[in-house]
Amino acid sequence: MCSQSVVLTHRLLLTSIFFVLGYGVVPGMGQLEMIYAGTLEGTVHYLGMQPPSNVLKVLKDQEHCGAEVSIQTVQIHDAQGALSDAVVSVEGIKDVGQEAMEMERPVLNTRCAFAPRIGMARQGQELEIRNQDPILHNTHIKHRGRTFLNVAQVPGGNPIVKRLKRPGLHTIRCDKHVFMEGSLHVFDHPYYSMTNQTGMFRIESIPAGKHPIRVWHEALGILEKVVNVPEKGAVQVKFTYP
Amino acid sequence: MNIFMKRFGWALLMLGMAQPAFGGSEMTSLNMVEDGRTIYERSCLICHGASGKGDGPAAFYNAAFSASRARDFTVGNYKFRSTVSGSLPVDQDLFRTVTDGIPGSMPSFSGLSIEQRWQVVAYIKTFYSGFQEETPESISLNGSPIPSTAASIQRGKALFEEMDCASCHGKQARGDGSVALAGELKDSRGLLISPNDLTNRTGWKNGTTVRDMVRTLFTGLDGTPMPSYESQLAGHKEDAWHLANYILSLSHHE
Repeated sequence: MCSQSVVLTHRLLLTSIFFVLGYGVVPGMGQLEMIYAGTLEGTVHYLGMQPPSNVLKVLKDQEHCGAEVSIQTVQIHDAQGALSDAVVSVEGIKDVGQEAMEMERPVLNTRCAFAPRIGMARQGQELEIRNQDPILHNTHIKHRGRTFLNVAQVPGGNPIVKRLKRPGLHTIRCDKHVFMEGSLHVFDHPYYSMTNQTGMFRIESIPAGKHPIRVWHEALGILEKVVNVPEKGAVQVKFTYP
Repeated sequence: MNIFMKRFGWALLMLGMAQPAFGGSEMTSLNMVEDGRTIYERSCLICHGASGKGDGPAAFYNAAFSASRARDFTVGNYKFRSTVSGSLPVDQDLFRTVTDGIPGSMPSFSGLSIEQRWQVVAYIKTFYSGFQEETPESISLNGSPIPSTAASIQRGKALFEEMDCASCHGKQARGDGSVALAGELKDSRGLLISPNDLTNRTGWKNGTTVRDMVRTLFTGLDGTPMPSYESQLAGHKEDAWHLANYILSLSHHE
Protein backbone atom coordinates (compact mmCIF):
# COMPACT_ATOMS: atom_id res chain seq x y z
CA MET A 1 0.00 0.00 0.00
CA CYS A 2 2.76 2.33 1.02
CA SER A 3 4.92 1.45 -1.99
CA GLN A 4 1.92 2.02 -4.29
CA SER A 5 1.52 5.54 -2.87
CA VAL A 6 5.20 6.23 -3.46
CA VAL A 7 4.93 5.08 -7.08
CA LEU A 8 1.84 7.21 -7.65
CA THR A 9 3.51 10.22 -6.07
CA HIS A 10 6.53 9.75 -8.33
CA ARG A 11 4.29 9.47 -11.41
CA LEU A 12 2.41 12.61 -10.40
CA LEU A 13 5.67 14.47 -9.87
CA LEU A 14 7.01 13.29 -13.22
CA THR A 15 3.81 14.31 -14.99
CA SER A 16 3.93 17.75 -13.35
CA ILE A 17 7.53 18.24 -14.44
CA PHE A 18 6.65 17.40 -18.01
CA PHE A 19 3.76 19.84 -17.98
CA VAL A 20 5.93 22.59 -16.57
CA LEU A 21 8.41 21.90 -19.35
CA GLY A 22 5.63 22.18 -21.88
CA TYR A 23 5.33 18.51 -22.76
CA GLY A 24 1.85 17.07 -22.98
CA VAL A 25 0.40 13.81 -21.81
CA VAL A 26 -2.05 12.69 -24.41
CA PRO A 27 -5.38 12.03 -22.70
CA GLY A 28 -6.35 8.41 -22.70
CA MET A 29 -2.78 7.16 -22.89
CA GLY A 30 -1.07 5.33 -20.08
CA GLN A 31 0.49 7.51 -17.38
CA LEU A 32 4.04 6.74 -18.45
CA GLU A 33 3.45 6.75 -22.20
CA MET A 34 4.31 10.41 -22.56
CA ILE A 35 5.09 11.92 -25.91
CA TYR A 36 6.35 15.27 -26.99
CA ALA A 37 3.47 17.29 -28.35
CA GLY A 38 3.11 20.73 -29.78
CA THR A 39 0.40 23.06 -30.98
CA LEU A 40 -0.41 24.13 -34.49
CA GLU A 41 -1.88 27.59 -34.87
CA GLY A 42 -2.62 29.47 -38.01
CA THR A 43 -4.89 31.28 -40.35
CA VAL A 44 -6.58 30.65 -43.66
CA HIS A 45 -7.17 33.54 -46.03
CA TYR A 46 -8.78 33.99 -49.40
CA LEU A 47 -7.32 36.75 -51.54
CA GLY A 48 -9.56 36.41 -54.58
CA MET A 49 -12.76 38.19 -55.44
CA GLN A 50 -15.80 37.21 -53.45
CA PRO A 51 -17.80 34.94 -55.77
CA PRO A 52 -21.47 35.81 -56.19
CA SER A 53 -23.97 33.96 -54.06
CA ASN A 54 -25.70 31.02 -55.62
CA VAL A 55 -29.38 31.94 -55.78
CA LEU A 56 -31.71 28.98 -56.21
CA LYS A 57 -35.44 28.91 -56.72
CA VAL A 58 -37.40 26.93 -54.19
CA LEU A 59 -39.89 24.61 -55.81
CA LYS A 60 -41.30 22.94 -52.74
CA ASP A 61 -42.52 24.22 -49.37
CA GLN A 62 -42.09 27.87 -50.33
CA GLU A 63 -44.30 28.96 -47.44
CA HIS A 64 -41.58 27.80 -45.07
CA CYS A 65 -38.35 27.90 -47.11
CA GLY A 66 -39.11 31.10 -49.06
CA ALA A 67 -39.32 31.64 -52.80
CA GLU A 68 -35.56 31.36 -53.22
CA VAL A 69 -32.45 30.71 -51.20
CA SER A 70 -29.11 32.45 -51.45
CA ILE A 71 -26.05 30.35 -50.64
CA GLN A 72 -22.62 31.88 -50.16
CA THR A 73 -20.06 29.18 -49.52
CA VAL A 74 -17.03 31.51 -49.41
CA GLN A 75 -17.35 33.39 -46.13
CA ILE A 76 -14.81 36.24 -46.00
CA HIS A 77 -14.83 38.31 -42.84
CA ASP A 78 -12.33 41.14 -43.23
CA ALA A 79 -10.24 43.08 -45.73
CA GLN A 80 -7.37 40.61 -45.29
CA GLY A 81 -9.56 37.79 -46.52
CA ALA A 82 -10.05 35.90 -43.25
CA LEU A 83 -11.90 32.76 -44.30
CA SER A 84 -14.18 30.78 -42.02
CA ASP A 85 -15.46 27.20 -42.32
CA ALA A 86 -12.22 25.76 -43.68
CA VAL A 87 -11.43 22.37 -42.17
CA VAL A 88 -7.81 21.95 -41.12
CA SER A 89 -6.41 18.52 -40.30
CA VAL A 90 -3.15 16.71 -39.74
CA GLU A 91 -2.76 14.01 -42.36
CA GLY A 92 -1.15 10.62 -42.20
CA ILE A 93 -1.11 10.59 -38.44
CA LYS A 94 -2.00 7.58 -36.40
CA ASP A 95 -4.49 7.71 -33.61
CA VAL A 96 -2.32 7.68 -30.53
CA GLY A 97 -4.95 6.28 -28.25
CA GLN A 98 -7.23 9.16 -27.46
CA GLU A 99 -10.72 7.84 -27.20
CA ALA A 100 -13.46 9.69 -29.05
CA MET A 101 -15.57 11.58 -26.56
CA GLU A 102 -18.92 9.92 -26.03
CA MET A 103 -20.96 12.77 -27.38
CA GLU A 104 -23.45 12.96 -30.17
CA ARG A 105 -22.77 15.17 -33.13
CA PRO A 106 -26.00 16.85 -34.14
CA VAL A 107 -27.12 17.49 -37.68
CA LEU A 108 -30.17 19.68 -37.68
CA ASN A 109 -32.63 20.27 -40.47
CA THR A 110 -33.58 23.81 -39.61
CA ARG A 111 -34.97 26.63 -41.74
CA CYS A 112 -34.48 24.49 -44.83
CA ALA A 113 -30.75 24.15 -44.25
CA PHE A 114 -28.40 21.79 -42.49
CA ALA A 115 -26.82 23.04 -39.29
CA PRO A 116 -23.93 22.88 -39.13
CA ARG A 117 -23.48 23.14 -42.86
CA ILE A 118 -19.88 21.99 -42.43
CA GLY A 119 -19.31 19.63 -39.53
CA MET A 120 -16.51 17.58 -38.00
CA ALA A 121 -16.54 14.43 -35.92
CA ARG A 122 -14.39 11.56 -34.69
CA GLN A 123 -14.79 8.06 -36.01
CA GLY A 124 -16.84 6.18 -33.44
CA GLN A 125 -18.96 9.13 -32.39
CA GLU A 126 -22.68 9.08 -32.95
CA LEU A 127 -24.50 11.35 -35.33
CA GLU A 128 -27.88 12.60 -34.18
CA ILE A 129 -30.18 13.89 -36.89
CA ARG A 130 -33.18 16.03 -36.05
CA ASN A 131 -35.80 17.86 -38.04
CA GLN A 132 -36.77 21.16 -36.45
CA ASP A 133 -38.83 22.36 -39.40
CA PRO A 134 -42.61 22.02 -39.73
CA ILE A 135 -42.14 20.20 -43.04
CA LEU A 136 -40.76 16.81 -44.05
CA HIS A 137 -37.07 16.49 -44.85
CA ASN A 138 -34.96 13.54 -45.80
CA THR A 139 -31.36 13.47 -44.68
CA HIS A 140 -29.30 11.62 -47.26
CA ILE A 141 -25.67 11.09 -46.27
CA LYS A 142 -23.15 9.46 -48.57
CA HIS A 143 -19.60 8.32 -48.01
CA ARG A 144 -17.42 7.42 -50.99
CA GLY A 145 -20.48 7.00 -53.17
CA ARG A 146 -22.21 4.65 -50.77
CA THR A 147 -25.29 5.59 -48.82
CA PHE A 148 -24.42 5.99 -45.16
CA LEU A 149 -27.95 6.92 -44.28
CA ASN A 150 -31.08 8.07 -46.09
CA VAL A 151 -33.92 8.73 -43.70
CA ALA A 152 -37.18 10.62 -43.86
CA GLN A 153 -38.13 12.81 -40.94
CA VAL A 154 -41.61 14.16 -40.51
CA PRO A 155 -42.12 17.36 -38.49
CA GLY A 156 -41.54 16.53 -34.86
CA GLY A 157 -40.45 13.03 -35.81
CA ASN A 158 -38.06 10.85 -33.90
CA PRO A 159 -34.38 11.82 -33.95
CA ILE A 160 -32.12 9.35 -35.70
CA VAL A 161 -28.83 8.26 -34.21
CA LYS A 162 -26.13 6.40 -36.09
CA ARG A 163 -22.49 5.71 -35.25
CA LEU A 164 -19.84 7.03 -37.63
CA LYS A 165 -17.85 3.97 -38.58
CA ARG A 166 -15.53 5.19 -41.31
CA PRO A 167 -13.31 8.26 -41.64
CA GLY A 168 -13.57 10.56 -44.61
CA LEU A 169 -15.82 13.14 -46.20
CA HIS A 170 -19.54 12.51 -45.82
CA THR A 171 -21.81 14.56 -48.05
CA ILE A 172 -25.27 15.53 -46.80
CA ARG A 173 -28.26 16.37 -48.94
CA CYS A 174 -32.03 16.56 -48.77
CA ASP A 175 -33.44 15.04 -51.95
CA LYS A 176 -36.70 16.88 -51.47
CA HIS A 177 -35.00 20.28 -51.18
CA VAL A 178 -31.92 20.02 -53.37
CA PHE A 179 -30.53 23.36 -52.23
CA MET A 180 -29.98 21.79 -48.80
CA GLU A 181 -26.41 20.53 -48.80
CA GLY A 182 -23.72 20.02 -46.21
CA SER A 183 -20.61 18.05 -45.37
CA LEU A 184 -19.34 16.14 -42.42
CA HIS A 185 -15.64 15.38 -42.00
CA VAL A 186 -14.94 12.27 -39.96
CA PHE A 187 -11.42 11.71 -38.66
CA ASP A 188 -9.75 8.67 -37.15
CA HIS A 189 -7.61 10.92 -34.96
CA PRO A 190 -8.24 14.02 -32.84
CA TYR A 191 -6.04 16.47 -34.77
CA TYR A 192 -8.46 18.66 -36.66
CA SER A 193 -10.06 22.08 -36.41
CA MET A 194 -12.14 24.59 -38.34
CA THR A 195 -11.39 28.22 -39.01
CA ASN A 196 -13.49 30.78 -37.19
CA GLN A 197 -14.57 34.23 -38.34
CA THR A 198 -11.06 35.57 -37.93
CA GLY A 199 -9.76 32.81 -40.20
CA MET A 200 -7.88 31.26 -37.27
CA PHE A 201 -7.56 27.66 -36.16
CA ARG A 202 -5.69 25.84 -33.40
CA ILE A 203 -4.88 22.15 -32.95
CA GLU A 204 -3.28 21.05 -29.70
CA SER A 205 -1.28 18.04 -28.48
CA ILE A 206 0.06 17.03 -31.88
CA PRO A 207 2.96 14.57 -31.67
CA ALA A 208 6.16 16.38 -32.57
CA GLY A 209 7.57 15.94 -36.06
CA LYS A 210 6.91 16.76 -39.69
CA HIS A 211 3.28 16.36 -40.66
CA PRO A 212 1.34 17.20 -43.80
CA ILE A 213 -1.37 19.71 -42.92
CA ARG A 214 -4.44 19.78 -45.10
CA VAL A 215 -6.99 22.55 -45.53
CA TRP A 216 -10.32 21.73 -47.10
CA HIS A 217 -12.88 24.26 -48.23
CA GLU A 218 -16.12 23.26 -49.89
CA ALA A 219 -15.80 25.74 -52.75
CA LEU A 220 -12.08 26.55 -52.87
CA GLY A 221 -10.68 23.05 -52.68
CA ILE A 222 -7.67 21.66 -50.88
CA LEU A 223 -4.35 23.15 -49.78
CA GLU A 224 -1.52 21.14 -48.25
CA LYS A 225 1.70 22.04 -46.52
CA VAL A 226 4.24 20.06 -44.50
CA VAL A 227 4.77 21.61 -41.08
CA ASN A 228 7.33 20.71 -38.45
CA VAL A 229 5.45 20.55 -35.16
CA PRO A 230 7.78 21.30 -32.23
CA GLU A 231 8.20 19.20 -29.12
CA LYS A 232 6.76 22.03 -27.08
CA GLY A 233 5.08 25.33 -27.74
CA ALA A 234 3.28 26.33 -30.90
CA VAL A 235 4.15 26.66 -34.55
CA GLN A 236 2.42 29.20 -36.77
CA VAL A 237 1.30 28.45 -40.29
CA LYS A 238 -0.59 30.49 -42.86
CA PHE A 239 -2.63 29.16 -45.76
CA THR A 240 -3.82 31.33 -48.59
CA TYR A 241 -6.31 30.67 -51.38
CA PRO A 242 -6.09 30.69 -54.33
CA MET B 1 -12.85 -33.44 -44.19
CA ASN B 2 -13.12 -30.84 -46.92
CA ILE B 3 -15.85 -32.80 -48.69
CA PHE B 4 -17.72 -33.17 -45.44
CA MET B 5 -17.45 -29.43 -44.72
CA LYS B 6 -18.59 -28.55 -48.21
CA ARG B 7 -21.62 -30.82 -47.98
CA PHE B 8 -22.41 -29.59 -44.50
CA GLY B 9 -22.21 -26.01 -45.74
CA TRP B 10 -24.60 -26.71 -48.55
CA ALA B 11 -26.99 -28.41 -46.16
CA LEU B 12 -27.08 -25.23 -44.09
CA LEU B 13 -27.72 -23.14 -47.18
CA MET B 14 -30.60 -25.28 -48.30
CA LEU B 15 -32.14 -24.95 -44.86
CA GLY B 16 -32.21 -21.20 -45.33
CA MET B 17 -29.33 -20.56 -42.96
CA ALA B 18 -27.11 -19.09 -45.61
CA GLN B 19 -26.37 -15.84 -43.77
CA PRO B 20 -24.33 -17.26 -40.94
CA ALA B 21 -22.72 -19.68 -43.35
CA PHE B 22 -21.60 -16.90 -45.67
CA GLY B 23 -20.65 -14.63 -42.82
CA GLY B 24 -17.62 -16.85 -42.23
CA SER B 25 -15.11 -16.91 -45.01
CA GLU B 26 -14.23 -20.50 -44.21
CA MET B 27 -17.59 -21.62 -45.62
CA THR B 28 -17.35 -19.49 -48.72
CA SER B 29 -14.92 -21.75 -50.43
CA LEU B 30 -12.67 -20.63 -53.20
CA ASN B 31 -14.29 -23.23 -55.42
CA MET B 32 -17.66 -21.67 -54.82
CA VAL B 33 -16.38 -18.21 -55.73
CA GLU B 34 -14.62 -19.56 -58.80
CA ASP B 35 -17.75 -21.38 -59.93
CA GLY B 36 -19.66 -18.15 -59.33
CA ARG B 37 -17.18 -16.26 -61.46
CA THR B 38 -17.76 -18.62 -64.37
CA ILE B 39 -21.52 -18.10 -64.15
CA TYR B 40 -21.11 -14.35 -63.66
CA GLU B 41 -18.96 -14.00 -66.74
CA ARG B 42 -21.49 -15.92 -68.77
CA SER B 43 -24.68 -14.33 -67.43
CA CYS B 44 -23.99 -11.05 -65.60
CA LEU B 45 -20.90 -9.48 -67.15
CA ILE B 46 -22.73 -8.06 -70.15
CA CYS B 47 -24.46 -5.53 -67.87
CA HIS B 48 -22.41 -5.45 -64.67
CA GLY B 49 -19.00 -5.54 -66.35
CA ALA B 50 -15.91 -7.63 -65.79
CA SER B 51 -14.88 -5.66 -62.73
CA GLY B 52 -18.41 -5.37 -61.33
CA LYS B 53 -18.63 -1.61 -61.85
CA GLY B 54 -21.90 -1.80 -63.72
CA ASP B 55 -20.11 -0.86 -66.90
CA GLY B 56 -20.70 -3.91 -69.04
CA PRO B 57 -21.20 -3.52 -72.79
CA ALA B 58 -24.99 -3.41 -72.46
CA ALA B 59 -25.22 -1.22 -69.37
CA PHE B 60 -24.83 2.14 -71.04
CA TYR B 61 -27.26 1.33 -73.83
CA ASN B 62 -29.87 0.12 -71.38
CA ALA B 63 -29.75 3.34 -69.40
CA ALA B 64 -27.73 5.95 -71.24
CA PHE B 65 -29.00 9.10 -69.62
CA SER B 66 -31.29 8.02 -66.82
CA ALA B 67 -31.48 5.45 -64.07
CA SER B 68 -31.41 2.67 -63.51
CA ARG B 69 -28.11 1.49 -64.87
CA ALA B 70 -26.69 -1.88 -63.84
CA ARG B 71 -25.57 -2.04 -60.23
CA ASP B 72 -21.98 -1.10 -59.45
CA PHE B 73 -20.95 -3.86 -57.06
CA THR B 74 -17.72 -2.13 -56.04
CA VAL B 75 -19.38 0.70 -54.08
CA GLY B 76 -21.61 -1.23 -51.70
CA ASN B 77 -24.86 0.55 -52.58
CA TYR B 78 -27.73 -1.90 -52.76
CA LYS B 79 -31.33 -0.89 -53.32
CA PHE B 80 -33.10 -4.12 -52.54
CA ARG B 81 -32.32 -5.14 -49.00
CA SER B 82 -33.99 -6.25 -45.84
CA THR B 83 -31.49 -4.24 -43.77
CA VAL B 84 -31.42 -0.70 -42.38
CA SER B 85 -30.52 2.24 -44.59
CA GLY B 86 -26.80 2.37 -45.23
CA SER B 87 -26.29 -1.31 -44.54
CA LEU B 88 -25.19 -4.00 -46.93
CA PRO B 89 -27.77 -6.62 -47.92
CA VAL B 90 -27.84 -10.06 -46.35
CA ASP B 91 -27.11 -12.96 -48.67
CA GLN B 92 -30.77 -13.84 -48.95
CA ASP B 93 -31.47 -10.36 -50.37
CA LEU B 94 -28.93 -10.90 -53.13
CA PHE B 95 -30.24 -14.40 -53.75
CA ARG B 96 -33.79 -13.01 -54.04
CA THR B 97 -32.76 -10.43 -56.61
CA VAL B 98 -30.82 -12.98 -58.65
CA THR B 99 -33.79 -15.34 -58.51
CA ASP B 100 -36.63 -12.89 -59.12
CA GLY B 101 -34.86 -10.32 -61.26
CA ILE B 102 -35.98 -6.69 -61.28
CA PRO B 103 -39.05 -5.80 -63.34
CA GLY B 104 -38.07 -3.55 -66.21
CA SER B 105 -34.36 -3.76 -65.42
CA MET B 106 -32.97 -7.24 -64.91
CA PRO B 107 -34.18 -10.67 -65.93
CA SER B 108 -34.88 -13.45 -63.49
CA PHE B 109 -32.11 -16.01 -63.22
CA SER B 110 -34.32 -18.68 -61.73
CA GLY B 111 -33.16 -20.82 -64.63
CA LEU B 112 -29.90 -21.28 -62.77
CA SER B 113 -29.89 -24.00 -60.16
CA ILE B 114 -30.13 -22.94 -56.52
CA GLU B 115 -26.51 -23.93 -56.07
CA GLN B 116 -25.44 -21.81 -59.04
CA ARG B 117 -27.35 -18.79 -57.75
CA TRP B 118 -25.59 -19.02 -54.39
CA GLN B 119 -22.29 -19.31 -56.23
CA VAL B 120 -23.05 -16.09 -58.10
CA VAL B 121 -23.94 -14.39 -54.82
CA ALA B 122 -20.61 -15.50 -53.35
CA TYR B 123 -18.76 -14.08 -56.35
CA ILE B 124 -20.67 -10.77 -56.42
CA LYS B 125 -19.64 -10.18 -52.81
CA THR B 126 -15.96 -10.34 -53.72
CA PHE B 127 -16.26 -7.02 -55.55
CA TYR B 128 -16.71 -5.05 -52.32
CA SER B 129 -14.48 -5.50 -49.28
CA GLY B 130 -17.21 -4.31 -46.92
CA PHE B 131 -18.76 -7.76 -47.07
CA GLN B 132 -15.72 -9.07 -45.20
CA GLU B 133 -15.97 -6.35 -42.53
CA GLU B 134 -19.67 -5.92 -41.87
CA THR B 135 -22.36 -8.22 -40.59
CA PRO B 136 -25.68 -6.98 -41.95
CA GLU B 137 -28.88 -8.08 -40.28
CA SER B 138 -32.44 -8.10 -41.55
CA ILE B 139 -34.79 -5.76 -39.74
CA SER B 140 -38.07 -6.72 -38.13
CA LEU B 141 -41.12 -5.75 -40.14
CA ASN B 142 -42.95 -4.56 -37.06
CA GLY B 143 -45.72 -7.11 -36.70
CA SER B 144 -47.86 -8.92 -39.21
CA PRO B 145 -50.02 -7.76 -42.09
CA ILE B 146 -53.39 -6.41 -41.06
CA PRO B 147 -56.56 -6.83 -43.14
CA SER B 148 -56.94 -4.31 -45.91
CA THR B 149 -60.21 -2.84 -44.70
CA ALA B 150 -61.71 0.49 -45.71
CA ALA B 151 -60.61 1.93 -42.37
CA SER B 152 -57.06 0.68 -42.85
CA ILE B 153 -56.89 2.13 -46.35
CA GLN B 154 -58.28 5.42 -45.10
CA ARG B 155 -55.63 5.58 -42.38
CA GLY B 156 -53.01 4.70 -44.99
CA LYS B 157 -54.16 7.55 -47.19
CA ALA B 158 -53.81 9.98 -44.30
CA LEU B 159 -50.28 8.69 -43.71
CA PHE B 160 -49.46 9.05 -47.41
CA GLU B 161 -50.25 12.74 -47.05
CA GLU B 162 -48.60 13.12 -43.64
CA MET B 163 -45.37 11.50 -44.87
CA ASP B 164 -45.47 13.76 -47.94
CA CYS B 165 -45.10 10.81 -50.31
CA ALA B 166 -46.78 13.01 -52.94
CA SER B 167 -43.68 15.21 -53.25
CA CYS B 168 -42.10 12.49 -55.34
CA HIS B 169 -44.87 10.04 -56.17
CA GLY B 170 -47.57 12.65 -56.85
CA LYS B 171 -50.98 13.22 -55.31
CA GLN B 172 -52.43 10.43 -57.42
CA ALA B 173 -49.30 8.35 -56.77
CA ARG B 174 -48.47 8.11 -60.47
CA GLY B 175 -44.82 9.00 -59.99
CA ASP B 176 -45.41 12.60 -61.03
CA GLY B 177 -44.76 14.61 -57.87
CA SER B 178 -43.45 18.15 -58.11
CA VAL B 179 -39.89 17.23 -57.13
CA ALA B 180 -39.86 14.48 -59.75
CA LEU B 181 -41.27 16.72 -62.47
CA ALA B 182 -38.65 19.35 -61.67
CA GLY B 183 -35.96 16.80 -62.58
CA GLU B 184 -34.34 17.06 -59.18
CA LEU B 185 -34.27 13.38 -58.30
CA LYS B 186 -30.95 11.69 -59.06
CA ASP B 187 -29.46 8.33 -58.26
CA SER B 188 -26.01 7.72 -56.80
CA ARG B 189 -24.45 8.12 -60.24
CA GLY B 190 -26.15 11.46 -60.79
CA LEU B 191 -28.54 9.97 -63.32
CA LEU B 192 -32.10 11.20 -63.45
CA ILE B 193 -34.37 8.77 -61.65
CA SER B 194 -38.16 8.55 -61.63
CA PRO B 195 -40.25 7.55 -58.64
CA ASN B 196 -42.41 4.50 -59.07
CA ASP B 197 -45.92 4.83 -60.43
CA LEU B 198 -47.65 3.31 -57.45
CA THR B 199 -50.84 2.70 -59.42
CA ASN B 200 -49.07 0.20 -61.67
CA ARG B 201 -47.84 -2.74 -59.69
CA THR B 202 -46.10 -4.39 -62.62
CA GLY B 203 -43.31 -1.83 -62.42
CA TRP B 204 -42.56 -2.29 -58.73
CA LYS B 205 -38.99 -3.43 -58.44
CA ASN B 206 -38.82 -4.53 -54.84
CA GLY B 207 -41.79 -6.90 -54.83
CA THR B 208 -45.54 -6.49 -54.91
CA THR B 209 -46.79 -8.02 -51.67
CA VAL B 210 -47.78 -6.02 -48.62
CA ARG B 211 -44.67 -7.37 -46.86
CA ASP B 212 -42.49 -6.20 -49.76
CA MET B 213 -44.04 -2.73 -49.48
CA VAL B 214 -43.50 -2.49 -45.73
CA ARG B 215 -39.93 -3.69 -46.18
CA THR B 216 -39.34 -0.96 -48.78
CA LEU B 217 -40.81 1.69 -46.48
CA PHE B 218 -38.54 0.57 -43.65
CA THR B 219 -35.31 0.09 -45.58
CA GLY B 220 -35.58 2.76 -48.25
CA LEU B 221 -33.76 2.17 -51.53
CA ASP B 222 -30.08 3.01 -51.06
CA GLY B 223 -28.49 4.76 -54.00
CA THR B 224 -31.78 6.50 -54.81
CA PRO B 225 -33.66 9.39 -53.17
CA MET B 226 -36.19 6.99 -51.58
CA PRO B 227 -35.50 7.28 -47.85
CA SER B 228 -36.17 4.90 -45.00
CA TYR B 229 -39.29 5.67 -42.96
CA GLU B 230 -38.41 3.15 -40.27
CA SER B 231 -37.86 5.58 -37.42
CA GLN B 232 -40.99 7.53 -38.31
CA LEU B 233 -43.18 4.44 -38.46
CA ALA B 234 -41.56 2.36 -35.73
CA GLY B 235 -43.49 3.90 -32.87
CA HIS B 236 -46.86 3.19 -34.46
CA LYS B 237 -46.91 -0.50 -34.95
CA GLU B 238 -49.75 -0.72 -37.46
CA ASP B 239 -49.14 2.42 -39.48
CA ALA B 240 -46.66 0.83 -41.88
CA TRP B 241 -49.24 -1.83 -42.72
CA HIS B 242 -52.00 0.77 -43.17
CA LEU B 243 -49.77 2.76 -45.52
CA ALA B 244 -48.86 -0.38 -47.45
CA ASN B 245 -52.53 -1.36 -47.68
CA TYR B 246 -53.36 2.05 -49.11
CA ILE B 247 -50.57 1.93 -51.68
CA LEU B 248 -51.54 -1.57 -52.77
CA SER B 249 -55.18 -0.49 -53.04
CA LEU B 250 -54.20 2.07 -55.69
CA SER B 251 -53.30 -0.57 -58.24
CA HIS B 252 -56.45 -2.67 -57.85
CA HIS B 253 -54.42 -5.76 -58.47
CA GLU B 254 -56.12 -9.12 -58.03
